[in-house]
Amino acid sequence: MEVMNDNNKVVFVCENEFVAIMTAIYDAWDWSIGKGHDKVHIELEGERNYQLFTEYIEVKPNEEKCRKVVRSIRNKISEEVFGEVFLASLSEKKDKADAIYHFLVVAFKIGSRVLDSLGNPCVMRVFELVRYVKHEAGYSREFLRFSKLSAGGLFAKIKPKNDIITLIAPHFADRLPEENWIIYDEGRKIAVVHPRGSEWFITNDKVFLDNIVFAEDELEYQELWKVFFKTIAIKERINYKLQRQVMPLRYRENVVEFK
Amino acid sequence: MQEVIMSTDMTIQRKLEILTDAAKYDVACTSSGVDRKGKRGMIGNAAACGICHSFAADGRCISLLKILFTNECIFDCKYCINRSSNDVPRASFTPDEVCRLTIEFYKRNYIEGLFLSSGILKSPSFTMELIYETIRKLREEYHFNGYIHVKAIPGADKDIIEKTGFLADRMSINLELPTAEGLKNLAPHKTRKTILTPMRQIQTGITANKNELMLYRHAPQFVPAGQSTQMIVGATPENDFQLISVAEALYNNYSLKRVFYSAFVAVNKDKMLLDTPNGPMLLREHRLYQADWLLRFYGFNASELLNEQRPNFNVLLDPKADWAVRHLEYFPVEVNKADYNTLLRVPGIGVRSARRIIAARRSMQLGFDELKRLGVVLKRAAYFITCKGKMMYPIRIEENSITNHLIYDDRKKLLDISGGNEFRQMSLFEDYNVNVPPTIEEKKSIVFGEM
Repeated sequence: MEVMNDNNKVVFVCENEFVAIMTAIYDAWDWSIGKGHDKVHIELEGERNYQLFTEYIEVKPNEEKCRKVVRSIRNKISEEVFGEVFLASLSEKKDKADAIYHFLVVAFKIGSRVLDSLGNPCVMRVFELVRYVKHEAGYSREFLRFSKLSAGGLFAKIKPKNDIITLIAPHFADRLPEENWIIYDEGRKIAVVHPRGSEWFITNDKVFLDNIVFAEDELEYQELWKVFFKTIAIKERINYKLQRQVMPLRYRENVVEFK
Repeated sequence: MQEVIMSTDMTIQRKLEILTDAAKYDVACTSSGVDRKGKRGMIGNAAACGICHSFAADGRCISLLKILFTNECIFDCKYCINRSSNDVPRASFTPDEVCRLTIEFYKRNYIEGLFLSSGILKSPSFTMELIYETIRKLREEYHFNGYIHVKAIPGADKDIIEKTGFLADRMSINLELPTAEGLKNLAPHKTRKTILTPMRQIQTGITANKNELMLYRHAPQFVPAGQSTQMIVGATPENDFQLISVAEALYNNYSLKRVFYSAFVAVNKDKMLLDTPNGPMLLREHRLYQADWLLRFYGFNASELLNEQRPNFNVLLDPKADWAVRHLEYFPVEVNKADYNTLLRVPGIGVRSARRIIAARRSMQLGFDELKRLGVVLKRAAYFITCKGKMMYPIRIEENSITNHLIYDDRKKLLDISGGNEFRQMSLFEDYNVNVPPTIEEKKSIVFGEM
């Protein structure tokens, strides 16, 4: 029995949210002292399929533990590594918390060089998660479409797989400082609200959804855009396959010109 | 402004349709080259990387509202849909109409900004003045802080071009054809001189402005995203070597940011124009873009890629692979040792993957699995590299067999680019079991159906 105990795995289970993930990393790290990191894993809540000889520990999100982890990463490794960890935490992938943990194990050992160690599978996994998050944020910046509301503000719906709404908000805040605008993530049911001339904030209050009335000239401009979109293509070069490669179908859902 | 008044009873939708249709053959639609933060009281910013907001049915990126101010034109360029001798519906915008469309589209995140070009109304200077007035309004009265690309009209007054340059992010003058001869035949109202003079003026302006900006940080910026140009491919008999040599000279002597290549679309019938029976030469255009990329980012010279004896690209093989198979004496290279510039010359290794390799190998010896994860396209690179002294498969390093493998792997991609026609014609070679890569003359005779 002694031997079997040594082989036991421990899985820390946390909510799919930044503070919870950081807390889990804190707890897991604490547990692993003297026992090694190999037997520790972190899973997101709801992902559990129970395995034998495995101990499951629920993690309670704790702001203080989160702050400590963040501070250690920033001070002892680098700002850049923290940036990667944060982006990875926005991923939709189920293994992200575990990937971040084992990435950090390497990172605390070798420092900010970790970002170059792409030969290492844990590092590569975080790199992949981050790349996907950045790609999707990029796509959203490109393909998001605002509609004008009767009160003059702008409203956009998005449905990203990764939680990228906070990554795109600064872009639009810089670009449209004098507009009232709202970006709504349909999947997560959260919104970024930007009141004209002030800071944006994030909310899960959906009151505004009941009051969506489009401006009188909204349809007219949508029609004008569709005319432009259709006319700008050179018919001798029509190539729908190429169009599908560069603008995948799943990104077209809320895009005016494809409706 | 009689013409403008004449067309005011047309709906804005109809005008947009006519003036988009008339502008669509211009290639440049990039919004790149300048980073500008947003400002209180203004609308818009600019991202240096450029942002594509949509892709049209031809797969081309839509970044800017690309329109003509007017398609009225006193010039009669043989290749152009808007030439004076063509009977097409004509229309003109007013400056306010252009401004409103730009702002309303921009707010909805349809576009990154405006690309304004124009037919020649009355005279080059008169037209340039209209363009200037439109973007002055857009910047000053509509407070637009996003991206603006405008055409400089060949032959327009120096002063108007100069003041336009202080409002625009990018300016371009189309070279249209790579040789003065071609230009004379096809664009009787344009000359090399009227095209190169403003190009030089803008280049000088950009340099002077950079010096001024060093002294006075808040001096107004002159064409901060640089200038670009465009050449038509396949309307005249010029070869690829001429095209990329001209491009190279423009990059070196005129400090251009981009040279664009536009596969000729036969919108007019004219005995001066070459026939394009399989539609526009999209694969040739694609190869020119790849070669252009090699000139700008990979440290190649035009004369390394082509020469008088071999003046055209092998359309079946990308220019870098083509160069590599003709220089097998440099290969294979050891990935764990080769320097950055050597790595860059390996087919399947790009700027990014070369950088990643250099970084990653500091901490470990790289094998083929690692290379794959770093983004190296092993299907292409395998013939040219070793990892820890070993090649991926036992391959004979011999020009013909490697060429065949590379062409075979690429078939599907080429088919996608050309939309079918052009490639299907050329892939006849496979049915005939031709082992040697075809010379361009052979290929042409097939494309033109003389086999």
